[in-house]
Amino acid sequence: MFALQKGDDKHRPYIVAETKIKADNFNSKMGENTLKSLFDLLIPKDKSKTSVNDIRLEFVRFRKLLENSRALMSLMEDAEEKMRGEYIFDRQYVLSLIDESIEYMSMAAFDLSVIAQDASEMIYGLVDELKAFTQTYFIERKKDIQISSPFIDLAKTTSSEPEFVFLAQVLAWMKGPLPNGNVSVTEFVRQVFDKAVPALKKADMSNPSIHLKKLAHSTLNCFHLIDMDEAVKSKMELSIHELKCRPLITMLTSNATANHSIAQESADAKWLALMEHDRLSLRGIINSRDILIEVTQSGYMDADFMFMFISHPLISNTLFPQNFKTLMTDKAIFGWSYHLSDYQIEQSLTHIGTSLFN
Amino acid sequence: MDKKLKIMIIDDENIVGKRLKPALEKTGDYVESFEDAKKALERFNSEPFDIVVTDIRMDEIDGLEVLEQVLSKSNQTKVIIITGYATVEVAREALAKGAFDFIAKPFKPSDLRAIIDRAAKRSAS
Repeated sequence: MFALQKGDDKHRPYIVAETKIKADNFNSKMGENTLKSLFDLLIPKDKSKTSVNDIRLEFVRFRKLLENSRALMSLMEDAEEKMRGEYIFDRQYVLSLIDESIEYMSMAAFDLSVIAQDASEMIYGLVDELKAFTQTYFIERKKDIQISSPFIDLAKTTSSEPEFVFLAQVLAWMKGPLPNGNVSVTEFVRQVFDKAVPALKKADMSNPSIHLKKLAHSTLNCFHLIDMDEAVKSKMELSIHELKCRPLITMLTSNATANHSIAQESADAKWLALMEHDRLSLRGIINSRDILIEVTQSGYMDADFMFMFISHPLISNTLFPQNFKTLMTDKAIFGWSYHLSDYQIEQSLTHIGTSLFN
Repeated sequence: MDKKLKIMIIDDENIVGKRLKPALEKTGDYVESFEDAKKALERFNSEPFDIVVTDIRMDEIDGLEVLEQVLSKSNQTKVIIITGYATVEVAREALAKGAFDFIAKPFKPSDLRAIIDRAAKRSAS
């Protein structure tokens, strides 16, 4: 309406006048329209966009949770490596292991409470319990660790060096299981994933308010996509050849021999794929069991990883590629593998893809 | 390397000297280890060493002070600093003050051996 030009103050009074007219007519039809358009800006009519954005935000938060859990597992592996006796370390190293574990658990608790709000109280309670435990048995007794810890039987070390005994005890606390119902770091991770994965939005496929691209695939009728790299504008069908997500393409185009029992069962599954060029979050429901596959395939080994979660009853143990480490919980089995080469990821994705979709 | 080195280890954590000494002696070098930096410096004043490996964080006399005193007594001696967790800034300061190199805990004796060998070569050249 106003062609404002730089340094042209002559237009300013007109703008003020326009604003004043709207204010003066607040109760008039014009004022109502202005107010309505303001509300429209604040509360979008198209709730579907909010739904997709919720899923996007959740995707990012779950990735943070995976990062923090991975850091915890890495600390444990590092401690195990030091226990082999090749390294020289001191008490400070062991104390920093405890500090870092608590820090990553606190961050994971935050991630979980964003994903599953009803788990918030439980998980922060666990973190407090773990903190109190380390304070009692490790921090306050650090000078005297060899005689005062309840881990004498759990801490497996042939060395009598106090630092090795201390590290063995901290490692026992990390790995578990612990006596008297005390929670280990591993148990904490188990509980986090048991709560987090079922809480992830699977996206109601019948809900037309969520804009999903339907994948045209002969055997997968319930395969829906959200492209994380671009705004989803309309519902449309895609062919596999139009996909840009590398991990998903690998999974869907594998030609190896299928395990027909799994493939048959998963043919009726509902899938939601959140895609980026080198990242995939694939969520499915197979006969009321949750399945989740998270992959980063960037070509940088330090950043790349795979994570898979399948709730009980387990479809098949063979679904996990051989290089996966797995943990069993009351509700599920989950596995992960990281520091993977591009080739290893391709192989693992082919294995999973063949089992599920061929 | 033909010449046998005289190596001094200073760390108030008992385990460091206890494990490093036998590891470094394997190649025939002469190694003395100290938990008390003051006693180590007295020993150094009576008889210089080729290599001093010292922890940076110690109670009474810290690694930087050891570095300064050693270099003021013998500028031929190569000082290697052992740093703990998250002490990169201090390590940088040590290098600026003339330390030959630093190594962060936890480390493998073979990693330290590689630094010692480099230090010995530098002394010989």
